[in-house]
Amino acid sequence: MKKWFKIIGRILGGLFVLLLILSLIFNQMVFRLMFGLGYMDVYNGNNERGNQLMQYAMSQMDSIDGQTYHSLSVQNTKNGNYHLAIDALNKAYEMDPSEVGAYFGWVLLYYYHDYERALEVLEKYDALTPEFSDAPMGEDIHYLKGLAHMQMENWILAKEEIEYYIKESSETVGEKYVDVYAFVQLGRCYAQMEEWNQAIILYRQAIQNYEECSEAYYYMGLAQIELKEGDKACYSLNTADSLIQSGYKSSDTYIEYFHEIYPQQIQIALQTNCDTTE
Amino acid sequence: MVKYFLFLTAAVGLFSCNNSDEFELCNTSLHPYYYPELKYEGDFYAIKKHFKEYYQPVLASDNSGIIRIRFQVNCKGESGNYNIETYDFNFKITQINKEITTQLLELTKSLDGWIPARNDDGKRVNSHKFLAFKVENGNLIEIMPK
Repeated sequence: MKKWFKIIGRILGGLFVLLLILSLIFNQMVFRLMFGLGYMDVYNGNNERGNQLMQYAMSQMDSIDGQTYHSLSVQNTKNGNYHLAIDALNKAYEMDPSEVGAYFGWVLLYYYHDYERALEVLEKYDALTPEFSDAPMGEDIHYLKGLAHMQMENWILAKEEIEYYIKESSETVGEKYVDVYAFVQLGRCYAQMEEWNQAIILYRQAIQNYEECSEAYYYMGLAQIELKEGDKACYSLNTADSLIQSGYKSSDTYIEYFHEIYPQQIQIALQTNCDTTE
Repeated sequence: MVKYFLFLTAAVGLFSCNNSDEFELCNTSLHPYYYPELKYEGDFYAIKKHFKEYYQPVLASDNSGIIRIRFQVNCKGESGNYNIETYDFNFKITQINKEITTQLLELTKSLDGWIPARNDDGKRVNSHKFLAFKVENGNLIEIMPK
């Protein structure tokens, strides 16, 4: 009889523990769900309410992982709630720099235009794997560092980083897999240093890899103007104009690319330098 | 004196009515600016040009930081429900000279080329959007995100 009591006791005890675990898990799931609802609320533009919901859910969670801070940051970055986004991202980064560093550096560069900090984070991230070129958010880390230097007008450092990316990628996977705008941006670095011929070589290399690169034609036109090659410049600018009118324009839904150009810019260059009375 | 007070109250009331935010969202859903995409006539180039042309540098105290202006655009392309938040360059909330924030708010309000986003059915929808301005020593340096 005692034996049966023991067995029943153990079963009941086990069930109780199981129930306790399940209720704890379920409880945590509710807060995860609540966090998700808050996230959607912010997505739909209810910034204050959504963030309150997310903050409350987080305050009830047993532990907050880097991924949760990361999620909190992403939606607030997209909505321009910068203090919330950066605070969350700093926490995620502190918890796991090797996981978050890539995104952090990338987002600081493109979304926050905080070039100095972007470079600092990207450098640290790159140093974690010195023998390997990382690709934060699919973009080569040397290219990103080059862009950050460009924005800070460190033309020589920018040139070195972008050249490193082009050379390394061309050797390992082939030139056709190099981001075509890396050639454009490298050309722009040379143009800033008034090395117009070298800039044109790079714009041509971009066009060789992507015939419809309106940006390369535009910047090439500007370089040819500097070299007093009027006819060539007007041909390049007109080509850029017809390409961009046909929809060949690099753009992104969220941010403005650093190499991005607009039809109005081409028109101004044409009107200033070419005969447009046709 | 009482008459003067009543006149003043009425005038203030009338003035407030004339300046009330008559903006209303359309009877459709509210979406983020990136999906479906909210556009502007002349693209981001026109937005930047607008601020470059009309923003006047402010030489006063507290004249550096980031001014984030959030707003909504309805299905008719009208904007309203503005909200301002200001940050230092470390993205911490701070105070920025009111002359700067007021100027940027008014310039944002005068952007009149919004092209309402369309949903998958081709129907115009409401969008929420923001612009963030980096101001250094009273000069407008950059506009984000686009």
